[in-house]
Amino acid sequence: MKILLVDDSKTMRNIQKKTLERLGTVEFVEAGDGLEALTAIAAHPGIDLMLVDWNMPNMDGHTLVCRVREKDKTTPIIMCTTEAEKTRVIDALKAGVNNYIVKPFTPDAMSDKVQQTLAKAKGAVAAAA
Amino acid sequence: MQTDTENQVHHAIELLVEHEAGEEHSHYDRSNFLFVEAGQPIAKLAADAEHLIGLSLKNVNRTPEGMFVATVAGCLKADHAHLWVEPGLRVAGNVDFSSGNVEYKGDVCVIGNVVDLFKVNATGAVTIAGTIEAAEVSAGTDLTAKGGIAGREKGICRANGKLTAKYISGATVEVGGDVQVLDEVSHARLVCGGRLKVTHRTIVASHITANGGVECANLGAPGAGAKTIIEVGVDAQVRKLAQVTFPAVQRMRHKAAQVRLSIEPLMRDQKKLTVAQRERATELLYQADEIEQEANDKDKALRDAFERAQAKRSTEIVVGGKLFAGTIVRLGELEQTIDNTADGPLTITLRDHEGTQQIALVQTHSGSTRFIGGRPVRDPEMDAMRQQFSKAA
Repeated sequence: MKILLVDDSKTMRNIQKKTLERLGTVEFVEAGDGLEALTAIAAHPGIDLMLVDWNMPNMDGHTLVCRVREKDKTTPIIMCTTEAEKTRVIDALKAGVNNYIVKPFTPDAMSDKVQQTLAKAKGAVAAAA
Repeated sequence: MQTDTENQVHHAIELLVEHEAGEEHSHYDRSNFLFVEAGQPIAKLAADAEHLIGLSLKNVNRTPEGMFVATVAGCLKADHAHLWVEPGLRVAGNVDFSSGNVEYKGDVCVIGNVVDLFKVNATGAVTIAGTIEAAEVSAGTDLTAKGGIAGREKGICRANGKLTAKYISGATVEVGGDVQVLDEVSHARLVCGGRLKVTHRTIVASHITANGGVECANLGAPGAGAKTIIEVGVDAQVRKLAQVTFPAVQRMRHKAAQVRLSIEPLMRDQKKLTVAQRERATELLYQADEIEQEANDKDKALRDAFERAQAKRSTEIVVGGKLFAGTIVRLGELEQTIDNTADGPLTITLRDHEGTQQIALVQTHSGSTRFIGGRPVRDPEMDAMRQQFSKAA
């Protein structure tokens, strides 16, 4: 499985990496902002999941999600952010994220959300086929 | 350093493998062996040598470009007519100043002795055709000491698998599996994860801990010499692991709890948290989780080791010849000093007698049993493991 981690904090990306490694064999692609993420998506086809922070320099996570959804409607995206207001969650869902994790989160909570999201995405693909 | 290999090599080839340069080694560390990995280029055709008449290759391929590549990992050998890689390392003589210490990924066979102060360390099996003197030998799997172990109180031998030795004298020996000794075990500290068999002679003046029980011809010696202590049904290596693991796990869990406690005020009212506090709280939650995970992993490793040891556990000592007075026997949690010399064959075992468990001497032929009581031995680590890990618990 290939997962794209987009967060300007390397510490946070490491936390996400180590947490998700416990779920099995995972290949990670990392980006420090939205622009880097777009480049990474082009360079690494076949990404299975994206974990995206909201507040980042150069291009924020919300803009990134909008840009990704212009071309790709299916790859699951989880917004993983400190933005906890309901309006922000709704904005993100409207932009096309599949799930939303508010910081602070426990590793278990993150693993659960990732597994839920992947299972749901798999179910949707199966239903479409 | 010039080696025999380099001196004798065929004139038409040039070796590409050199001894490791860099930091100064002691004379003991100067190895005379060239170790190569599978696929490693080991030699090339000399510029002026178009033909290689009479050079035979073994475990080596020659490429069209004139390179020689090892097909297996091992020890590179060359002489005037041959270039080959031995899959295991064979030391033709002693491990001494002529060979240096031996450090090898794979099996090692030493035709001579391992002399005082030298070391042999291999990830595979180690066979010493001669004697292991006051040296240090470690085998990743089995260790065979055909000429015996004469450690003169300084020798140290370790094997993760089995040990077979002619005799063991004056050495500290730690073995994960079974131990078979043909002659005598004397003045030794022997820790054995499996069963110890001393088939022909005596265990004397030694401290033995054998998880899988002991079989020997004679046990102890007449007169008041150095004590013979035989402890069975206990895995000393697991006990040692428990001594390190229990306090470490406790420390880690305490630390994880402290970290969680430090975030608790923040987590109570998350709406008031700043962005920086949210990021930091996530980091701390992860840190606590990681410490907890590490503690769980250590705990599981200890539990697995304990369960493996339990599967091999036996609290029986079988004596074929004589059991001498003065020998101290520890079976599980009971200890006793043998009061009278007894003739075998007999088995020292645990039996229920008058409502308590006691140490008993059972004669093999007649079946007659003599109970010799037993004082409880304090063994906090083993007790703690039994309490925490026993399936019944």
